[in-house]
Amino acid sequence: MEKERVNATLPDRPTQREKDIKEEDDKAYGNVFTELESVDLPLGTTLRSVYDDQPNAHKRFMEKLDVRIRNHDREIEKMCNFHHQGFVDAITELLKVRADAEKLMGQVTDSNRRLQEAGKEVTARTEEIVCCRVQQRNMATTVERLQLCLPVLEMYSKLKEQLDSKRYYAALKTMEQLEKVYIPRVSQYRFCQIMADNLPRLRDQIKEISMSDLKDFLESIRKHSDKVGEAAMKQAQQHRTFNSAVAKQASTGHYTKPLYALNGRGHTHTLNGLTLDDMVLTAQDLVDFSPVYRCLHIYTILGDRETFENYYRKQRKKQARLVLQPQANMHETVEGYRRYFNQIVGFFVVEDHILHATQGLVTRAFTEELWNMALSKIIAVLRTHSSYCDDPDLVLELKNLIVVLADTLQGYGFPVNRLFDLLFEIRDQYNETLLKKWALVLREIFELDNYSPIPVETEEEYKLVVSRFPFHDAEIEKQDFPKKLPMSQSVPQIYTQVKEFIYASLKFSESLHRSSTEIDDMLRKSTNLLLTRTLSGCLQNLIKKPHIGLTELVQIIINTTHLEQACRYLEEFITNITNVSPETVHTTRLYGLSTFKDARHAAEGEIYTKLNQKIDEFIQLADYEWCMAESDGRASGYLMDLINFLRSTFQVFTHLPSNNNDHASMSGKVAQTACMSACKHLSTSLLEMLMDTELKQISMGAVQQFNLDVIQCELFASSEPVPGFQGDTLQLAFIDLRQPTSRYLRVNPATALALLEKMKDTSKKNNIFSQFRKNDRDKQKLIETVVKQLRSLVNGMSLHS
Amino acid sequence: MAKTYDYLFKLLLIGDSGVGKTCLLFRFSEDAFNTTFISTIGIDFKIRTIELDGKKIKLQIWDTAGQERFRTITTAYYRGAMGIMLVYDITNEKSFDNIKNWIRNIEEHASSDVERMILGNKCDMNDKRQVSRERGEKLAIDYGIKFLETSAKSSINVEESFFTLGRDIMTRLNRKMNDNNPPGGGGQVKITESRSKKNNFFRCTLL
Repeated sequence: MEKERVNATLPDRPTQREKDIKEEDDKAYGNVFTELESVDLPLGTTLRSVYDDQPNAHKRFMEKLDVRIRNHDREIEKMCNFHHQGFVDAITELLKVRADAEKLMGQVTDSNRRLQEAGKEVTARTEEIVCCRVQQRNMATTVERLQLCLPVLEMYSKLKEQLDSKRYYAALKTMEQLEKVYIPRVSQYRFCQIMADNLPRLRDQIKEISMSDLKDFLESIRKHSDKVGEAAMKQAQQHRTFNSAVAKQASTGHYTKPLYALNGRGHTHTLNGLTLDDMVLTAQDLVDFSPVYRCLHIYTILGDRETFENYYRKQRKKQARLVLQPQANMHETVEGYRRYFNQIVGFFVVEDHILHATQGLVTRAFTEELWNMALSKIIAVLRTHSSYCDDPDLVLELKNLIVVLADTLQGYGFPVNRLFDLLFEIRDQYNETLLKKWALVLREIFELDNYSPIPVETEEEYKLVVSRFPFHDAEIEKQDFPKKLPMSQSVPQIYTQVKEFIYASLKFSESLHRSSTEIDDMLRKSTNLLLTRTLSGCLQNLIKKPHIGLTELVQIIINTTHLEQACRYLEEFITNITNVSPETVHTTRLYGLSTFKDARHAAEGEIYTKLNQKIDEFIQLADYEWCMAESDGRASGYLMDLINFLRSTFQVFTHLPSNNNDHASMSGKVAQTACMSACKHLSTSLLEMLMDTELKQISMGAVQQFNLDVIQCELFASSEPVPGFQGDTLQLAFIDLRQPTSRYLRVNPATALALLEKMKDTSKKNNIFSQFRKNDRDKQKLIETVVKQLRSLVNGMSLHS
Repeated sequence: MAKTYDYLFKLLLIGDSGVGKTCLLFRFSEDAFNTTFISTIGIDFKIRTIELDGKKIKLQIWDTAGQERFRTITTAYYRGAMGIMLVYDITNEKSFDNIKNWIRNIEEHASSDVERMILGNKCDMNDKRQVSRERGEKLAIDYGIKFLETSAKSSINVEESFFTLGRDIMTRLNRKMNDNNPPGGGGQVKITESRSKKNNFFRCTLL
């Protein structure tokens, strides 16, 4: 450092001359050096000026430069000398400071170490605090977030709870809230996302569950609808009874509409201070409708109401079809019908309830359509089933059921006119079954009758018969006991049964609100059917029965006369029931009279037929020997038997116990007609025998024999086998038979000719030798002449006719 | 008129009212039965043709009223009968007792050589029986008459009884013919046979 100071003084020693030159040079080179020494200027031009200006300039410059350098060196030396001591002192002093610095350094290091140790805990604490602060902050955030989330979760759990407790409607509400309010608030969370995703599934589940609940409901309603129906029918019936009782009691004729209460429809009738509340049993008491409402609500909320409605209606329609399908054996018992009706009523009561309790799940139109379908089906079913039925009691019960059914459903506002129309058909069917039943009854009566007059031993017995049958006869009343009534036991029985029939027929009109004129008309019509169809059929059958003999036929004739007379009492009987005067213009009359007249004619006809059949049987036994030479003078055996038979038959006929003059003359007339018909038939049969084309020859002997038989017939005719014939009316029956054999009063030429031809042939063949005898020859000639004459006569007649 | 039979036998049914004469006849002629009792009034008959030994035989069976009040009508038929069925009801003691009276009637009114037979009807009603078969048989033996128990309802022995009676008449007839016409007659005899038969039939003609 001292050197530097020494050197630093050097440049400050310039010479004079030099000074001069220098002054000059200095002037010239001063600028150059300035330029050179100034670091900033480019040296190029400076240096160039050094070289360019003058010769030797370079040298001079160099000299000048050296001078300058020596100056500077001296200055440096000077400076170094000047500062050297200071520098040394400073160094010495620095060396002294060095130790202290080292000492201080140790102290500082120690302090630092100590400080570090002391601060360690603080640092830890601080870190803890930092951590806690962070935690604290996190917690606050979490709490805040959780507070946001909690309601969502709460709602969700509420939803779960609602679902578990099957409060689906509330659950759906909750879901809606969740979706609209809660979840959007915290939608960033995954659980929310999951929740949100889950909700539609839950909705579907609810739908499914409520639908299955509905299915259960539909099933249960099917099970219970008969009970519902039963209750409704019972109610209707009670109400009807009640009303009629009230109507009778007050006789004011206030007919209130039948009452069928369903919750929410609020009819509570008070009639004359009597309430019907205690009778009321509602459909709701029997069936829990909540599944339907629930389901409906749920679907409404879910915006799928239409699906639900469609489903419900479709199902109910199906159920309706099931309900309307009767069991095959329904017609066998009342219970069968009752069950059927209960089901139907139950169905429609439920439907009505649904109609009123829900808004538009079913519409009036839908129910009406169902009802119309049901009505058609019911009518068809009843028509078919009731036609199987042959028990009138069952038909009657069916009718009562139909009435209750109609009443019940009418009470619910369903139109039931067609059911009442059906009742007309059922009534006809009822009458048909009655007719069938009575046909059996009547047939049995006829079968069990003995066809002999009713014997009465005492006054009591007489009164008993008369009480059952309107019989008045002064003659018979006068007679002493024991006596006999003209008719047989079937007559009072038949009469009683006809009355029974009328009662039975009347039963159908009970509780039908028909007018007495209508009932009267109906009774007369059905009674007429019984008389003209059933009884008439029975009588006609009876008359044709093989075991019914002549006497039975006669008794039947007498019986029918009495029944005929009793007809007007039947009219009275009906009038008493219906209070309709028979004089009323439109009254149907009983035309039973014709039945009995027809039966009588049939019986009479049968008598003639039976007699003729007997005669035919006798005729079959006839055994003439047409070639016999001579008769033995006695009538043929078969003919005698026949005549005896006729005689005893007519004897029995006319002695039948019949004291009533009318009947006597009646049966007498029949006997006369029968006798006349028998004689005519006998005559015809005998003539036919004679005229038989297979019979070629008749001997005189045979003619004699035949003549004897005809005489027997004539004897019979003239012996008045039946009283009351005038003159020889009866004998005339045999007149046609008489002529061929004897007199020629009323000879039919053809008959005579045929007969004579036969006799002529006989004569030719059998009596060849007799031709030689004059007598016989004359006879033969005579016959031939007569034959010729007869021939011409017959020819002439056929020409003229 | 062509003859449709070889023989005509007239039979008669007698017995108390209600023993079943009509029913027996109904069974035999129509093969039917009717439960209702309709008492016969006066007289009736049925004809049925049967075959015996190749001969067609018409049975004209007369059914009489059992009631006393028709007695005059019915007795008139006794004489013409060639066979008589005496019918009683095995469930009715009285009708059996009365058989004796009916036999007396026959002896009084019928021809002496009439074939007879006793029938105990209603033998289907064994639980109500009052007359044992043995008593019936004994009575028949006493009178030397054939006996059968019958039931018109159950169709027991009805055919048999009528066939038996028919056969008995046939036998008697044949015996009689043989008596009247010793064998060896030839064709001519046959005519006579026929005549004699006829006489037999018409014996009771005039009343």
